Amino acid sequence: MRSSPRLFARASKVSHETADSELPLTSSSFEDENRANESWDLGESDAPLQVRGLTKAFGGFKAVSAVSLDAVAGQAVGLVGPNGSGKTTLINVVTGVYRPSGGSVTFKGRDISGMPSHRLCRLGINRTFQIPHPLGDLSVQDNIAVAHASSRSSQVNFDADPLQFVGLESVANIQASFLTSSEQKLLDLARALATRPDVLFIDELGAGLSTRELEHVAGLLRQLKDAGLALVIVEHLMDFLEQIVDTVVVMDAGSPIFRGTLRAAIADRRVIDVYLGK
Amino acid sequence: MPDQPTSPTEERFNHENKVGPHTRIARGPTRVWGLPSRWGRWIRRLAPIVLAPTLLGFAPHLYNNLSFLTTMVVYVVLAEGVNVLYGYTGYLPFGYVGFFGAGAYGAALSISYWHVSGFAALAIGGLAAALIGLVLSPLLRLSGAYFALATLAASQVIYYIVANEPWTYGESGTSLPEIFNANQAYFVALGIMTLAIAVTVFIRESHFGLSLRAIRSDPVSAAMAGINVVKARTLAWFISAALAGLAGAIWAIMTAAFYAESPFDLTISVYAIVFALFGGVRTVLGPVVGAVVLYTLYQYIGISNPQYFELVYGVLIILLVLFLPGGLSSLIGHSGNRPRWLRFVTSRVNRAPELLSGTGQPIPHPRASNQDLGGRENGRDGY
Amino acid sequence: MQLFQYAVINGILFGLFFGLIGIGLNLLFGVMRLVNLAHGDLIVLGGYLAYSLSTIAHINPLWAIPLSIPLALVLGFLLYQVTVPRLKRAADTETASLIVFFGVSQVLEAAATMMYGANQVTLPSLGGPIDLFGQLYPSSVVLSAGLSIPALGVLYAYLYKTRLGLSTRAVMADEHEAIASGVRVRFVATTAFMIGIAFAAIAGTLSVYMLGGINPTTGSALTVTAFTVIIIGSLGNPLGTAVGGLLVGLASSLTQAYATEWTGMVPYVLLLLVVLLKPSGLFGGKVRRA
Repeated sequence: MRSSPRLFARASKVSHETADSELPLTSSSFEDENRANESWDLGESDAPLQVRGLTKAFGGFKAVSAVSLDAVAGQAVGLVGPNGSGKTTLINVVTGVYRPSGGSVTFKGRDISGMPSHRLCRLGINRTFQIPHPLGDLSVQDNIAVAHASSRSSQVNFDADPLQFVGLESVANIQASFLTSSEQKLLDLARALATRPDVLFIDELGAGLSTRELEHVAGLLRQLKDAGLALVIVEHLMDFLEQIVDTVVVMDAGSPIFRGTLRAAIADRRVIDVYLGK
Repeated sequence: MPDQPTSPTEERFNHENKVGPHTRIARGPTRVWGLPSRWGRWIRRLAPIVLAPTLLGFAPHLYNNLSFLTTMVVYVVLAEGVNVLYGYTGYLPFGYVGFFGAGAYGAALSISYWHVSGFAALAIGGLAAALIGLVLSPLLRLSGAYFALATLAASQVIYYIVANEPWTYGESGTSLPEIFNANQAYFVALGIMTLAIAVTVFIRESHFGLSLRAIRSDPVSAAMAGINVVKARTLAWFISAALAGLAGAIWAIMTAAFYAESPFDLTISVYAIVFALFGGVRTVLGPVVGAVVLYTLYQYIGISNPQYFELVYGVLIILLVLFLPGGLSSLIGHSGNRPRWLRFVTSRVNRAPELLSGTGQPIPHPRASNQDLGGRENGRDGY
Repeated sequence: MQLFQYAVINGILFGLFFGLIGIGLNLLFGVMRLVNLAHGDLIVLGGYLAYSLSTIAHINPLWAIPLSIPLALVLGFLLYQVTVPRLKRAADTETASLIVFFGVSQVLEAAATMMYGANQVTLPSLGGPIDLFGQLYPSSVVLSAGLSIPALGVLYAYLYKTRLGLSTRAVMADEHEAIASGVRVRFVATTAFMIGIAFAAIAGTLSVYMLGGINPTTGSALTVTAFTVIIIGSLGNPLGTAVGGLLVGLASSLTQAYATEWTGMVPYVLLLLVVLLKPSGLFGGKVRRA
């Protein structure tokens, strides 16, 4: 049994940050029966990256609880849910920042649970950070050069210079700490692309960008998807997500509560309960 | 865009804009010292390795005090070792002297017990220090002041062991036969210095060095760029330890008779750090210049009145860290080492071609929407 | 058994003093992440003030305690203004402050050598030995250790019973949250810095009695001991510092009684053990990202 007060506190925190494009959020509380029948056993699949029953507990608190997820080449999965629902923690566990407490992650049939970040990077799994931390002492170009040295041959049909792709080539010689925050986000994406990943986790790339920048970024992500990357995108901005994702997984309190298209999600009873309260 | 005059940056990117999986992304300027890049780069690599030892090789003709000169060269090696660790990884080894002492005793004891040759003793000294580095490698889990103080503590623990155990002759004093005469010792020290400079050049130019700088900037991002953070840090730690060990070994062979206090004197750490900071860390020649200038100053005022030298370098480090954190070389060197106010100017200058030429429309480049996002200065809170 | 009892009581007396030398440092490190490597030298400076009063003005050196406090507050204020704003802008404040304050310690050490020479200076004893549980201890040592208790109590009251103390603890916990909550961080930090230096000055007078005498290089050893004490007792925790001081005092005293030649190594070994096995200290709820 989850305690309602904690959920309440988290969900109401979200409501302060509600933007126009987000679903309106208020406090929520719901019973376990609402999801008790949800069994997310995806079973066998040929997706390159398969997350099965992944759990991460911090002390007694389960930030991520039995999450399963497939990342399929050429497809984009949206990962949505209120703040604190475990989306970023999930990415952190899959990309080797934290060790999982349970469950497994396999990549091309190989168990990669708990593998350190640099090895995942070389296998073809990469990510961007919610708050980008570019290598500030290095030039923009060196930021890319460092990552490029870990690049590998990939089936993904993406050959562009990452800096040119994201539109940062004109600042290539500038020290990365001098970039604006939106430029740092693009640099973070370019850094991830320079390693030529097969699977890319995007953690709230859109947050804080202007409308025009959002369009630019959405276009970039669509191109990546078309080139054959498997994308997993965490985002609060539904309009932005709609342009890119094929399916979404809605999370609440560490567990997935819905899986399907974004449109179906917005109409789904359980999702509305999470965001609006019953 | 192709019709417009392009900035050098854009030119290079247009030139290399198709990057395959095995293409090397060029870095650094296309022309170095006015020479085509490939030649210029090699000259830039080899010049310090050849020039510094050559110039110092003539020093005995100018000032024939070999004991002073050899000690100075030993300090150059130590300053380069601090540079490798502090400059490239940000770990300040306050107890760096522990490696120096381990090297000195590694060499001295191998000569006393096994009567090995001079060069074998040097190698054993370097290895002994690297071995101590291996034992102390858990300290790399710490950061900032904890790391600095923990290495200090570790060096003192090593000192107490060496000083109190009878088999090390720490208390009774070590006395070695003459292995190298003063002249030979000086040139052996120069050889070690050449190695230290070559290692620093390698680190500056190689992908390994770039990885270290990346880790220093942000370890999490660096790991996500595919860098094995623990391995790279540990390797830098071993390199730095081995350099100090070699310096300690040649010092022990040159000094021949000493007590444990001398090679474990904390001022050795302190001088190495101050010399490196004075000349400028993350450069190749900064620590060399720093050690030569300050140790010469020490020779003139420090030996007779150590407190005056202490006052001078005390004031010097305060001023350096507060006003010129990149050391002397930041006044002339690469823009990345310049203090904030200087660097700020430089960044504007670097951007000038792009801002002035008015090439192309800035969309979709996010610069166009700067006004949405606030300034680029990451100001800190009000202290 | 006699030796053991003597060593334990002696350890407690020194432990109280070590708590006192740690407490000022804890305030600086806890509040601003400043590594004051000059702490020991500031203590020694206080000691030299007492020595000057005794030899030049011929008054009781204990008067140095009330006299040194305002002087230390002014010195602390000036030192803060010169160094801290710039240090806070450095990429790595902790390491930069470590180097700068090391420079300060060298300047103080050099100045002390120039003014008082490199030899040890001492103060006349305060009176006959005092009997504690059947053993005799110098009255100056007992008095100094005893004065440490109210000094620690004053700091505890400041941190836990005053509004400014609450703000100080808020800054220790999270600087940015504190700013966002309207805490005047600059004011709080300056005050904490000045108080920290004042505690060094108080410990300075007592250090001459506790250590039997001081010389210009005493400062570095005191700095390392003080750091050991606060790291053992956890940052920002005055009670932890007191306990850390007692542990270091007892360990040193017992080692001195049974294995004299290893005494100097004790603080270093304790420091290494704590940073490797429990970096947050014995009383640390606060997780240090190391």
